[in-house]
Formats: sequence, structure tokens, C-alpha cells
Amino acid sequence: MARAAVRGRLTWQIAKVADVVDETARVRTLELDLPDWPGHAAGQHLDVRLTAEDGYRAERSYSIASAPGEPVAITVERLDDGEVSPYLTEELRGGDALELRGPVGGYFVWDEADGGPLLLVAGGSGIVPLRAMLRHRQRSGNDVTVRLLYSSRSLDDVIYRSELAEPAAGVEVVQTLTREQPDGWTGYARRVDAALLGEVAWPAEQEPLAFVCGPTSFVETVASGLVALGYPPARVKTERFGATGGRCWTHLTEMQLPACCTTSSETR
Amino acid sequence: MTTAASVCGRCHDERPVAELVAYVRAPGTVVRCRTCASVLMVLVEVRGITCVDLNGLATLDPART
Amino acid sequence: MSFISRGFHGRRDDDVDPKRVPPGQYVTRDFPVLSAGPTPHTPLEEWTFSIVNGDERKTWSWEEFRALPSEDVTVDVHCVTRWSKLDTTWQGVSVDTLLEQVEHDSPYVFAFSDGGYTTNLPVEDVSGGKAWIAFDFDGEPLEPEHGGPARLLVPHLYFWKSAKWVRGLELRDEDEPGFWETYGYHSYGDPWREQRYAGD
Repeated sequence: MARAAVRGRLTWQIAKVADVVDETARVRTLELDLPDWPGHAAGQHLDVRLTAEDGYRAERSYSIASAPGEPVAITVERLDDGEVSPYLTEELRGGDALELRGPVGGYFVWDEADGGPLLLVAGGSGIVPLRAMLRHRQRSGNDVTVRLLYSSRSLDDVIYRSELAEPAAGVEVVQTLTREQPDGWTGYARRVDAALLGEVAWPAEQEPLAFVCGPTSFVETVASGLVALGYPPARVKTERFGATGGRCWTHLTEMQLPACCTTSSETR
Repeated sequence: MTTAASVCGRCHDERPVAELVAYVRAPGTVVRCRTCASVLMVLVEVRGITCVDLNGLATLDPART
Repeated sequence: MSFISRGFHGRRDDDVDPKRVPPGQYVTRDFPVLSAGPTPHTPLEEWTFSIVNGDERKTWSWEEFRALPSEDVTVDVHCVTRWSKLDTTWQGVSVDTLLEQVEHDSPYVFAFSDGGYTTNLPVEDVSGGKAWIAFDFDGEPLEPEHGGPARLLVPHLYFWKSAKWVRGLELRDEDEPGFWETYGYHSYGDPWREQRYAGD
């Protein structure tokens, strides 16, 4: 990757909020205007930094909800005891400035060259980076087969509901509502467990690629379930949301290793 | 960086850096082996300079992803 | 820094006597959890606390430790990551009570915890009523994520010195840096002189 592009990703820049879209009662998408965006890959995230008048700062990471080539957007869930999410989902408005940097992340990324079949498993707001992958697939005209397993508390908590109700050709959406189901609901009605995964996941012989995103405990359950079904661990990519509601890899992805640390064993 | 291959110096577990366990909400960032929890990396920023201690790793290979 | 996020205040307490807030700190009503590793869960039947002085070692089991006289304290705590929490209430055994069980004339202690965390302090800063081994916070048993069953509490220094999951203090003649001190954090850590990093 070109040095200039790397430096750009690590520099804070000021975006303007172009539009806000309420996805659910607690979830809002912020569409952003960015003068110097270097582009991003599906699954990456960006870092947001808020600064109060006295200099106090808070920083969080949010997955990019839009596909490469689309205007940058992030989707934020308001955590009741959150410090940043209430600001982003209730106070921030169109025309406001937002300091951010990115894109960040090289591991939890789907590129068309990665192929499939794809298994995308989302818990709650874990749907965000997976939705970027779905939009990327559609925009690029890729026809890899996709199955999305999406766990939400209730129908009202389903993010991107209308978009997911009419998936593109080759994409199948399987939902489970864990707390409350509407009358006549025919989907799953419990938390994702090994049995549910067994019914929904592609058989391991098809050599699928899985992306799992959501709260830590959800991701651990699903990832170990998939490995138990025969998925090689290297084919199960995970992104965990910690207690802060954000993700923990910011510092690592920014690390520039000194040249002496490039150890290597035999070439493969 | 997160796709670089790491090998734990204690239990020799090998996995991409992205799968290690990072503790970031501390005076510095501590990265531990997912299997044996030993400290693999410590990153501390002091006056704008990041100090990186990779002593817990047996190898770290950014070229191998 | 010039960029300000319109309307952002953070989760802070504005109604505070500024004389109680060291330089560069912000008061919070939360109690953030900052850890360098997974939360240890040592069963109380296995838990011990020791004062170590060379070959000499005085050890207390949990029952023996809890049978010692303890006190209720209300203190302000200041974390090097800039949050301060005022009027926190704890119950703990004064480190004086433990140190007087061992004959020593060492100038330093090296605190060690479950999980391998360590930190260094002058003996003077954990005696004279300045430090406790705390087992209750806010009227309840100290939770594991906040250092339970017991942690060192040294409120006049930055909170990284208040080692969570503490299992003992080693008396030392030399001031050997502990975990964060090795990576450039200040050896002493006085928040009122803003001693965050070595050389401050």
C-alpha cells in the first residue's frame, strides 16, 4: 500500500454530517461528507473522536456501513450508559462537524476475490460491516452465494430492515428474533446455538468463508460452533464489539513495525 | 498489521494478530495470547512516542498473512 | 487543539470543587474498568496475602485477613488516563497493620498480583495510614473486574499504583520498576505534580 495512503488513514480529518437516518428507535446512520477519503474496503471501520470545550476527549470505533465507492456512512447504536453513542445518535445533526480517521482494519474485510460461498452471521449491531459487504457484492455485480444469519431482539430492533427484506439475487437472509416475535412469525425465535448453526450454515465441504460480528459472547459462541461444524478457524473471521460498543483493534492496525521486526521463517 | 502471523513465545500458538486478545483501556495496550494469556506485546504512548515491546512473541511475520 | 465537537460534554461531573482535581484530570461518576489482562478468579479458599522480606514470608489466608481490624475510608482516586472519581468509599485493612507483622528496614515495596501485574512504591507511601488492602467498594464486596477479592489502595498516587488482585508486597532495597513503570510510566506517580511519565 502506498505510503501516502497509509499516512492519510492515520490522520484525523473533519467530516461533515450530510444526513442522519433513524434505522430503529436506538440506531442511527450518519452519512458523512469527507473531503479527503482514501476509499475503504467492505468490513473496515473508522475512529471517531469527540472533543469538549475544555479539551476533554472521547474516542470510539464504528464499522463503515456503506460499500466501497459509496459515500462514507456509519451506523451507531445508542448504549444507555454510553458516553459517545448518545451524542452521535441524539445530539449530532446535519451540518455538524465530526472528527474521524480511517479506514482501519485489514483482517475483517471481504473482497470479491475472496469468493464464497459466504456465511455472514450478525448479532445486533454486528450487522453493520456485513451490510457493507452485501452492498459491495451488489455494486460490483458479484454473484457469490451468500447466507446471512441475523440475530436481533425483536423485529423493531432489526437494522436495515427494508433493505434486508428484499435481498439481492443469490443472497438468503435468515433471521432469529430472540426476545419478541410478531404474530405469524415463521423465522427462528431463539438465540443462535449449535443446532441453529447446523441448520443454517453452509456445509464445511463447500469450503465457505464466514464473517461473524457482534457482542463478544455472541461471536465466541458462533465461531466455536462453526469450527465444531468443520469450518477451518482460518475461514471464520470475527469482529467482536466490546463493552464500549466499539472495537479493540485500533492501536494494532496503526502500528508501524520497525524494519528489524520483520522476522520470517521459511518462505511458503 | 492485524493480518501478520504471530507465534506465542510461551505456548507457540500461531494465529493472525487480529485474533489475539487486546486490552486497550489501560495506561497502554497489552496484547495477550488467546490460548495461554501470556503477554505478547505491550504498546505504550509516552509524549507522542509509541514504545512497542514485542518480547512475548516468538515470531511476528507481516509478510505471511 | 482547535476542533470542538458542538454540544459534546462527555460523562463528567461539572459540579466539583476544582481544588480537588489534579492537573489534567476530569471528574467522572463512572468507574471505568481498565485492565492489562483477563480478570483473575482466584477462589477464596486458595487466596492468600503475603508480606515478603527476603526469605521471610508472613502469609494470611482470606479468613485470617478478614479477621484483621479494618476501616472505612472515603477517598478521591485519580487515574493516569485522566479520569478522577471523588468520594469513593472503601473498606480495607491498613497496610500498616500488615507491615508491622514483619521486621524490616527496607525503603521500597514491590506489589504483586494475580495475573502477573506488578508495581513499585516507597514503603513510606504505603504506611502511615496512606494505603489499604481494600475488599469492599461502595458498601459491597469488591467485584472481580475492579480488583476483587482485594486490591491495593493508594489514593494519593495515580491509580495504576493501586494494584488490582493484589496478593502481596515484597520489601525491597532497590526501587525496581513494575509493569507500567518499565514501559515509561513515572516511578512515583504523584497526580498533584502530574507525574505521569518517567522524567515528568
